[in-house]
Parts: sequence; structure tokens; C-alpha cells
Amino acid sequence: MCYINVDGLKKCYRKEVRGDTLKDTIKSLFKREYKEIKALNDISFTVEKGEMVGIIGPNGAGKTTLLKILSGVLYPDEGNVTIDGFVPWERKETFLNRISFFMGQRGFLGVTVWDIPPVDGFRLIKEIYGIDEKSYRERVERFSEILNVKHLLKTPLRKLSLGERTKVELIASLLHLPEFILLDEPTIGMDVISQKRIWDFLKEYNNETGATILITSHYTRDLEELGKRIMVLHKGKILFDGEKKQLQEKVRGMREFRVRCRDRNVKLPVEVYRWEEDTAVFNVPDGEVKKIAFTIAGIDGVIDIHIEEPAFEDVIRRVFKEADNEEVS
Amino acid sequence: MKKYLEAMRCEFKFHLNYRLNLFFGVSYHPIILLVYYFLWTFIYRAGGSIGDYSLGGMLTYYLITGLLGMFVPIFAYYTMTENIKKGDLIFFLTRPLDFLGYYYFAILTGCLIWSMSAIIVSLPFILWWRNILIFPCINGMLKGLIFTIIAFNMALTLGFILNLLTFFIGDPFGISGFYDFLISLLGGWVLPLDVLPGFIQYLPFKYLYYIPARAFMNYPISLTKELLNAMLWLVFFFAVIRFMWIMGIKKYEAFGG
Repeated sequence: MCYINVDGLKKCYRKEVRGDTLKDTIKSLFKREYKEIKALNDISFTVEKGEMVGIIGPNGAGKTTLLKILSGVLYPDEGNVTIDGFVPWERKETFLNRISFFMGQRGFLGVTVWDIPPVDGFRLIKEIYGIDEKSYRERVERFSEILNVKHLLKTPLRKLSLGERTKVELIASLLHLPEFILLDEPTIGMDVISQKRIWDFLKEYNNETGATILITSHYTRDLEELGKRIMVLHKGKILFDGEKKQLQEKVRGMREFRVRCRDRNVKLPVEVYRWEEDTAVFNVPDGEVKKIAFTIAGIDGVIDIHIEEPAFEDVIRRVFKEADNEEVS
Repeated sequence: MKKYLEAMRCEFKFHLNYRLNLFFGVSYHPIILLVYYFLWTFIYRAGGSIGDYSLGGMLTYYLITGLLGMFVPIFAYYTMTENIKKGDLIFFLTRPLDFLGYYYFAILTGCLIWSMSAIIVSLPFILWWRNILIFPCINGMLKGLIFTIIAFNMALTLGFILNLLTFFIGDPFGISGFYDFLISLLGGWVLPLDVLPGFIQYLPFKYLYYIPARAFMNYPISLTKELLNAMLWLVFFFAVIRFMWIMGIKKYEAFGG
């Protein structure tokens, strides 16, 4: 039996719909309109113990809702979930002792010990989970060393930068050595060095403890670093669930062009996916690479052409685009 | 239980972190006592009594209710509402830590600190009025302490009910101002309930200030009847809280994350 079993999960939210004029605001005092948003629309999947799964999707895809149901915070409208035999929303103490839900920009310490040092929050965590003193000291020492926050543990939490706070919150989330970890946008707002530290830390944690980890992110780099298995969520549905290399198969036979131009007014004979300053980025089928390259090289205003394998985020973008096109048709 | 004691320790550190906050939080207390002194000495200038309150009795009543005001958290503790609204409740729901239990002990810590501070700033007034105050006897102290504990729990449960309304109405802020005023009046903090209509004595709010103050002063109260009544009200409020929590969690959407 799999560690995590999700079957037919559905969740809707009821959201108020209101116009932006003053008249609409006054009207809403007497009559309110609501619409239903399908956050999760018949999601089913399984996860084996010890797996690391990356979940990616645009805003509103249902990623956080999924994590909230798996952690027991929300009740689904329909469907079943079991995690190691536990039903999350029953919130049994044995289950809660084994899980951790980490949200990038906010955390337990921010709610409970905002004005005092993180080390006080760690002590609170120690008592919550009944961690013995020796193990507690070892873990605080080790985790703070790895994440380079040892010198910050006695500084009031409110005085730490976002990146520093995120790291101490991560330590607080893992002090009890959970075997099931949910990370919601763990590296949001962090610099690349801090992001790398967190990726390495999580990989080491997974290797050592065999914890099952689910991570959501907007950053494809997070998923490239952490997840062998990727789940792509879009409008409450799973568009893709499999290994990274299977996803990359979707753009097999394609090449990514990065064309540096004098400015964005240069007319290129292809559909440009995005501009990165004055560099146009787009994909071209293998068979047309030579032809397109020669055509573009002759255009006035083109400074440099670089051809490589498509970036992972372009793969993801392609998956979303295909899903949207299917919906329209 | 250790986790809640640790929560108390964190809350203790938080309160002592902001010294000016602590100072100003109790500095208005002597001003209120001074105002009451001038008010009631003016009212009593011709002598006599109001009900069973002499001038000394009245000043004792306000001194005690003033101190109780620092220990009995009638003013809605808004942080819980913010936790629910902003989605921070998630951090309690995903841990073996009871949200209401955590705030019970956190608020208790704050109330102990504030009331100790209020006792210190009240000492000059106790010395100044020592010849007219009614000092509690041992019997009165014991009864007063029992009813003070009941008062704390009563106020906390009412506060919890107000905060848990957040699950259903989004934000109880509009109600909280009315609530604070109403139970100050109906609890006997503004005036002894003897001067208000009799039906108010059937409400549970008298256990917040009026009954504990009279108990300390060893004024007549039917001890068994009041204890039983108070416990029944507490059981009722705890049942309401449990019901609201179960229903609220089912509807909770944890927005903010």
C-alpha cells in the first residue's frame, strides 16, 4: 500500500463577487453575489514513502489547497485521502507528531515568538513534540550550522531578514524530525545562495531520514533541484504526473533560441515566448533550426544567436498552454 | 502540560520585552482611582451610604474591581481573530498543540503580569485610604480568590466565543467594542450592580467583577448558590465553544496562505 493515497479529491470555495465602484460597495450591504471556484477538481494520485515530489502550477492552480487538505487543515468536499493509514483531517495526535507544514513566508515562530528570539520558539517546539534535551540541542546545533543561522538564534525574530526568518522557520518545522513534510513555496523571496542552502538541506534531510516530501513552487528551479517526480497542476486538475525527463519529452525535438537584439522593436519571423531584456526567447522544431538560424542572422538589429535545449520552465509553460488551448477548443 | 507552561514562558518574555508598554499599560490605573476618589467623596459629602456601600465600601469596591480588571480579560483578545483571518491557524492545526489551550495560558500570563503591576501602582492608594478601606478577612480572601478564578475563566470563555465568531462572520471587530462596553457595565466594573435593575443579576456577567469584589469585601452573597450558578454557566460556555470550534473548523478555508 502506498504511503499517500489521494482519490477523487474535490474542493470548492465560495467567493464573493463584487464590482469596484462605490455603488457596488453600497449595493453589497444589502445583496451579495457569490461564485463557486473549483480549487481541486477530481485529483487522484499516490506517493511512495521517501519520495520527493514537486508540484508546480500557476496562481490559483490548487497547489496550496492540496497541501492544506493533505495536512488536515481543510476538509475536502469529496474524495478520500490517507497518509500512512491516517485520515489527515481527523488530526490525530500521532499523525500530527509526524508531519510538518512549512509555508515560505510565514511560520509558527512568526505567530508565537515574533518579538523574542527564535531559540525561545525552538524550546516551545521541543515541548510541543516532547523532544529530549540532548536530541534537541544536537538538532538545533546541526540545522543552524547547515543553514548558517547559528549567530541569529538569540536575535528577536522581527529583526531578522526574510531569508533569515525563513531559515529559522524551516528549522522549527524540522526539529521533531517529521516523516512527512509539506513545503509551500519554501524559497519565495530568497536570494539564490539561501535557496541553494535550503535545497541542499532538504536533499540531505530526505537522504538521511527517508522522509516523504511534497513541495509546491512557482520556481521551476526549486523543482529542478529537488523533485525527480513532478506534478503539474492547473485549474484544479493534474495535467502531468511523472518524472522530469518524461515532461521534457514533451519538447523533444525542439530547440530553444535565445536571440539578443538591439532592442525589442526588431521584427523576428517567429512567435516570441518571452523577452528577457533585449533577448527574445522561443522554441523551434529541430528540423527548422538551420533555416530559422540563417533567416534571423540576416535580420538587421540581431546581435547574437544562442541555441540550446529548451529550459524547464518553457516545458512547463508549454504544458499550460496546451491545457488552455484544449479548454478553449 | 509542559508545552503550555513553555508557552507561558514565551509570553512572559514578550510582555517584559516592551517596558514602556508595561509602564503605560498600568499608568492610567492610578488616574482612574484618583477620579473615583474625587467622585465618590463628592457624592458622599453629606455622609450616609448607597445600598450597603459606605464611602469606604465604595472605594474598596472600585479598588478591587480595578485590580480585577487587570486580571480578568474582558477586553477581547484580538490576536486569535487575526490568527483565524490571516490563515495562521494552520500552524496550530498541523501541530499537537491546542489553539484554545495555547491562548488560555498565554492570556493567563499576560493577566498575571498586568495584575501584579497594577497591585504595585495601587499600593500608594491603599496606604492613603487605609483608614477607610474595608480590608478582607481570611474568609473573604478565600472566597474572593475562588470567584476571581471563576471570573478569569468566565471572561476567557466569553472572549473565546467572540473570537470564534470569526469563522462565521469574518471579523467580529464591530461586535467587540459593543461587547467590551456591555460586559463592563453588566459585570459591575462601571457601577456596582446593586444600583442597576435586578434582572441583571440573573445574567452570568456579575461573576466577572461584582461577585468577586463582594466576596473579597465579605459582603453578603449566597456562596453555594453563586458557585453552582457560576459553574453551570461555565459548563454552558465551554459547550458553546466546543460546538463553535467543531463547526468553525469544518468551514475554515485558511485563506492567507
